[in-house]
Amino acid sequence: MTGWWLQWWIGLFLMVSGFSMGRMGPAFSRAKIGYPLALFGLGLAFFSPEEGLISNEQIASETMRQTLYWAVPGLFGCFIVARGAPIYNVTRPTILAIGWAILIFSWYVLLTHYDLFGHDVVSGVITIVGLIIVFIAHMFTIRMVESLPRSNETILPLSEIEKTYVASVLNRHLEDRGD
Amino acid sequence: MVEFLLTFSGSLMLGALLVLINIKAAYHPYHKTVPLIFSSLLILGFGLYMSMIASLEGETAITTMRQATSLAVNGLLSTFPVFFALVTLMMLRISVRPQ
Repeated sequence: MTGWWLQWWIGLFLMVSGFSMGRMGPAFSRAKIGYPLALFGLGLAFFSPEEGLISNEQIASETMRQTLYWAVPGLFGCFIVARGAPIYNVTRPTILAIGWAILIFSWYVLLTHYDLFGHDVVSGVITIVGLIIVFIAHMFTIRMVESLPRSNETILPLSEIEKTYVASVLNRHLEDRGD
Repeated sequence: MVEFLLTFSGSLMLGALLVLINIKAAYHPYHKTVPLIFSSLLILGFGLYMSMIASLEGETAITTMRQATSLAVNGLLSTFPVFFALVTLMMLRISVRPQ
């Protein structure tokens, strides 16, 4: 029994951490490292050795590898299609066609190289149900916390550094819109 | 039946771990995190207890947790093609929408 299994789990946790950091608004400094961190975690999980993984982890690791082969081009294709889709009468047929070509390629990989019917459907449904229960409990807790009476503490005004930072963000966005 | 119970307990633990990681990664000073951490740890403990009941005797808590959570990861990954099909339909819809 070796400690290599930790690499797989650390990789997964870094992926989630990176995604959480990358998608959030207020922590601007952390958001910058979010997606690189998620990619690093993905690499750690993808290239983790089988040594030390128990049977279920080996199956999950293999499924993850198989999924990445079609999910990566699939996500990329969706991104390109979204960029090329007609918005406000502006059409980009070339970008749209490239996006659909990548999407069709990912579906080809999915249908030919992925064991679509080899997975237990019931396990998938049970997992989704479990995650939904956690989500509901999480939402209930947030609602309860937000309904608690607020304390009387005074929130301090922005510091000079924070003011400069907020002003620079607003200026940047307003300049973008003004083009 | 044991595997389904392990998968369910694993999904509870996986969900709780996702919430805990998100709380840590997305922390800012105005977050009221203590109740969320407490509820997540409660769900994590409940999932661990369920998986300990369902798993073989003599297994440690960490091994049971690994077994159950990896089953849940596998279950989650197996649903991805369905979500991908839905996203593809959405892409089709935005590609052919009228001007």
